[in-house]
Order: sequence, then structure tokens, then C-alpha cells
Amino acid sequence: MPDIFSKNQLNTTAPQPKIVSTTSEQTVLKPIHLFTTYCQNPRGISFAEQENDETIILFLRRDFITNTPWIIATVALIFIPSLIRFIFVSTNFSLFSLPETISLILLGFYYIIVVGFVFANLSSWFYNIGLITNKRGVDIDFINLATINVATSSLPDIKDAEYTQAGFAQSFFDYGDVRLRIEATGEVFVFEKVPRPTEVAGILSKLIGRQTA
Amino acid sequence: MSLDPTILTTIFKTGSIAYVKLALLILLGLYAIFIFMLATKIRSLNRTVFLPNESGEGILRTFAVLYFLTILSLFIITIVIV
Repeated sequence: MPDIFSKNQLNTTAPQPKIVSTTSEQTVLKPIHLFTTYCQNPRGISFAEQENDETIILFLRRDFITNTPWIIATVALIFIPSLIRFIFVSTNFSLFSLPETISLILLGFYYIIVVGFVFANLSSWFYNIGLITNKRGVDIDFINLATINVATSSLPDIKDAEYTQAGFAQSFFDYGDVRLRIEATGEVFVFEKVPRPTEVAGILSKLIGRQTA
Repeated sequence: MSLDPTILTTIFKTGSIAYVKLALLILLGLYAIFIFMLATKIRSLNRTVFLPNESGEGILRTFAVLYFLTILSLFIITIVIV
């Protein structure tokens, strides 16, 4: 009787099966940080009406360079009281005199407003989020610190994706507007000033193509 | 050199600090309301989109609360000290 199971049992080190997966199936989830403006396959993010089988493919925010104007304004605002004081002292000019306590509180109030200006601009940038899932596009806008606008559009409704990079700054820093044209209503869905608009439009075109195929 | 005929000058020089205090309190109160509204909006946004803690969402929320408390403290200081 042939001995089937006893022969060369120790030497048979069968090679481990190689997990073959296509690049489209293999997704490495990336973490989001405070200053993340573009993230493919983000980790740990979800939204209120997300379905169970819905995965977020792209996370977008306005490019960080768009924050430059208010950052410069903040730096200027920080130095304005010192500058005014310096000018008044050096020219020996006085508009009116205030008690020490009131001037201190006024100065404190001024700097609280400056911090508020930073906070308002930062939160406005932080919560202007664009999400692209395997089912839809979601655009969350925090407009003028008073209005929250959440717009969604399912991928089969999107006709095409296009992008615009206008001006030197947008070309140099590689950011621009990505527009999605919605078939039924003819409305345009805009992700404003997002980084790498070429890639974003490319990913969207692929997703739209997959949906229509 | 000093400019005299402004309203502010008269107010300050006559020593009626009460007007300044009142104006400051009104400004601080209005500003506190504005910041409270902003903090509420942020809370509402955090219910719409759930960002991970390392994304700075927690920092912004904590900052909003601390900022509101700072304004309230300044409001109280203005009432007590000035």
C-alpha cells in the first residue's frame, strides 16, 4: 500500500500563495491632518447621510495658499496698535487720553477681535469640504460664517467634469475650480480652488464613465 | 499737539468713563453673541461631517469654547474693574 502522507512531509515547504489584487481593488487609506487639502482614500471620515456600502474616494478642501490674504492681514493687524503708539509717541501727538485700565481692556478687546478674525477664516476654510464617494459628490460650504450649505449629486446624474485654472497663481500653485455639470437640471456643481484639479477631474471622469458603462 | 473738539475728547476729559464702559460692554456682549453663533455653527457642521480627531476638528471645537469663555471673562472684567 503506498504511503501517501508520510513521505517528505518536513521538506515540503509549500510557497505561500501570493495575494494578487488589481490596483483598483487595493486601497491604502490615508490619514487626514489639520492642513490636508487633498486626500485620496481618506481614513476615518464620514458624513451624515453616508450609506453602508458607500466609500469616500476623494477628500478636498480649498488649497492652503488661498489663505494667504487673511494671514497677511492678521500679521498687519497684530502690529497696528504698536505702530500707532510708536507714531503718536515719536510725533508727540495725542488725540485723547484714556485711563490705564480702559486702554488695557480696549487693547485686549482689539486682540480678541484679531484672534476671532483668524478663527473665523480658519473655520471657514476648514469646513469648506468636498467629498467624492463611489456613489456621489458632496459639497459642504460654510458661507460667511452664517450659512451651511450641503449639496449632493449622485454620480449617474453628473454629465461631465471639467476644471479651470485661471491666472498665474492658480497655475503656479496647481489649484483651480472643478465643475460638475448635472444632466437633469443643467446646474453646475463646483469644488472651488481645490488642489490638483487635473487629477480630481480625471478621477471624476473615470467614476462617471464607470457609472454609465 | 492735541485735538480737542472731538466728542470722544470731551467724554474722556470730563471724566464720564461710564459711557465708555457702557459702549465697551455693548460691544463685548454683541461680540460674545456672534462667537456663540459661530460655535453653534461649528457644532452643527461636526454633525454633518465626521472628521477624525487628528484632523484638528477637536482643536477647533475646544478653541471655540475657550474663545467664548475669554470674551465672557473680558466682559466680567470690564464690569468689575473699570
